[in-house]
Amino acid sequence: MTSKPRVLWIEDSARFELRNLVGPLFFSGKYDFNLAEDVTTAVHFLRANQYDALIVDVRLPPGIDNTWRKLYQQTGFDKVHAQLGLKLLHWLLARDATINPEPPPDWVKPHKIGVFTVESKQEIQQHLDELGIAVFNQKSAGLPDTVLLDLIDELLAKAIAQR
Amino acid sequence: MDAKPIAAELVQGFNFLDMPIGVYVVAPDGQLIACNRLVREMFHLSLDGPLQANVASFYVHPQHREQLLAKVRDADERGTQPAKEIIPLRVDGKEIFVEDYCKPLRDPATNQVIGYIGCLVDVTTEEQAAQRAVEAQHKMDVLTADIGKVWHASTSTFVMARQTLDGVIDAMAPNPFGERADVTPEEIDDVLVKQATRLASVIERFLQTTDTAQRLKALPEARWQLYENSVGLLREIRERVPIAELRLPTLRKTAYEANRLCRDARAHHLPRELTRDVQQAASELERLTILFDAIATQMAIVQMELPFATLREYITAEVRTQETRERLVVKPLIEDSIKRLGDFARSSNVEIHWRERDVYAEVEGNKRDITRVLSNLLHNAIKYTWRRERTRASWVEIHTTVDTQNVCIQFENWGVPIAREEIEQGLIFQLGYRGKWSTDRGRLGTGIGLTDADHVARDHGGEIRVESKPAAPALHPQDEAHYYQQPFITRVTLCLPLVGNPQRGKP
Repeated sequence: MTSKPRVLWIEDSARFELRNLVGPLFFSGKYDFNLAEDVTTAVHFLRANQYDALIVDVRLPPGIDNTWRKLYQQTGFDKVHAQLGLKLLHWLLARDATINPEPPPDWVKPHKIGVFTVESKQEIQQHLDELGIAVFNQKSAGLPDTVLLDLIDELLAKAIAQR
Repeated sequence: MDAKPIAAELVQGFNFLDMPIGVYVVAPDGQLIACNRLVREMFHLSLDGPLQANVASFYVHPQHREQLLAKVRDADERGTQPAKEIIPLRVDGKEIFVEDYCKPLRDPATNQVIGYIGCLVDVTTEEQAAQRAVEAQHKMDVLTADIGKVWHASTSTFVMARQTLDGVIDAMAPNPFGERADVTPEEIDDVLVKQATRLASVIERFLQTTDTAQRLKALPEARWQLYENSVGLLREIRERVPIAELRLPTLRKTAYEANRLCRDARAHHLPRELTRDVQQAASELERLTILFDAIATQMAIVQMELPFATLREYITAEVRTQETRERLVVKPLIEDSIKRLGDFARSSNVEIHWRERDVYAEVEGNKRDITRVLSNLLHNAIKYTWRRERTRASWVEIHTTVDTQNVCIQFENWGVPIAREEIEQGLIFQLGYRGKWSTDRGRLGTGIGLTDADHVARDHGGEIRVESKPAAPALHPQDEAHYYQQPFITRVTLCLPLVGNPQRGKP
């Protein structure tokens, strides 16, 4: 039996207003799925496993790790301004040691990453370009329940096409 | 007589040139006769040359000068203090504001007004700041009125959502837990998992009984693959979806899809009885997920109804028309509050105990304000109550006492502490302040309830008293780290003066 692609969704609203998005994902039976609700947990998962797709939110809480907590505190305990999701991506892809001096896992590549956030594409375009991330979707009211599944499908289809 | 000699005498006899405020003498037409350095600076005149300026020319509105002089003469005739006016002037195109204390200068021989003598203070900075404050206040009033309207619409939406959920809950009946309000998330999860397992068994039987060729006539292979996937998901739902909050939407989606497969299939190719079993089991699972979701959402709405309403009233308080005060019997006010909080108490599984019900004392006040305060205090008491005994629901107590001056309504609960310094420093009454220990277990709040209660109590000549102490003081002494982890008995009391008490209505 071939193993399923592994997906990590880094999102703090998954069990709240976005909870309807996981039903189609599980029902599809296509992916092994993990959820990280803060940056500390995400880093823990990223070090423990290799994923085929990462879906990352921009506004994330830091979790218990002091490095990320400090970054969060420096912006006044505010998810909106801290944008820890972007900082996490800069650390993972640009290996920015000013964000976290620990080296990030080597296997994370831009084509494995999709950004799913309330920010518009225009707002974070510069970051996406710098990091080479092509898959993006903006959260908004009225999105279908399959939006997360579609985003993962799109990401993996592009990754396969790139190979 | 000319005013000049008097002015000259003033200058010689009393050295006002270096006084820290502007001093001047003018002729009746406003021509400057004498002034000190500050006035020269104020009007951008040469500091040591002859005076060739007329103060009337600096007035932004010439009628201000006429009005000022009329008031000055009037005050002088009545022997009262010189009038003080704030006057806008324009000097070299720039607007300044001065405070002018002015009185007529009379000829000692004839008592005729031969000019005016006065002091000027430049208050431009203060006046501009005051104007900015007025503008800001105006903007704030407009904004709060707008926020109030939006908030009003939001609370209406809440009411509509609640009514809709009532309909959904009725339509999705019966509830396996009946009228029980103390159902735990684990119990709900158990019911869902049981039904999920049942659906998995039915689907499995269906797949085992029907042959592949038959099935493919009814639906394409990819759809059957989903069906097969769902068996594993339904059987191992706790392992596959370890986060409890995500299980319910996942099961709802799975049940919905299982139902849809049956609907989409060309039924005459499938065994009718087995298809019906799958549909029934899937419908039941879908029904339960919708029912539990609707109940949970409704409870969340019920919890937020009063804070929303209070916030709305607080925002719109300044723009509401002043409502008249009336004599109010306390008993129906308490009853009204208990009624308003009935749903919230039930959904929180908290009973309201009120023993001294015969409170016929009367207060004078605004019915809406007092009812809101009582409701807020009761809401807090319910919200911050912990369960005391395994075998019975939690409770809050209402005590009412009446003495010769006041009636006091006390709300007592057992649970979340209020820290001593929060009471002593009055922090709990600060707008937007939320108690240190008040946010445990995800309790939401606005930090407005007690501020509002304090305002209303004072406005009615009364007060709010708060005390919070450990239920069992010996358990954890105050210097221990666990001091505030133990249950506290918190009493919040609204005291209002009785009708006939002279304190009544004192701010």
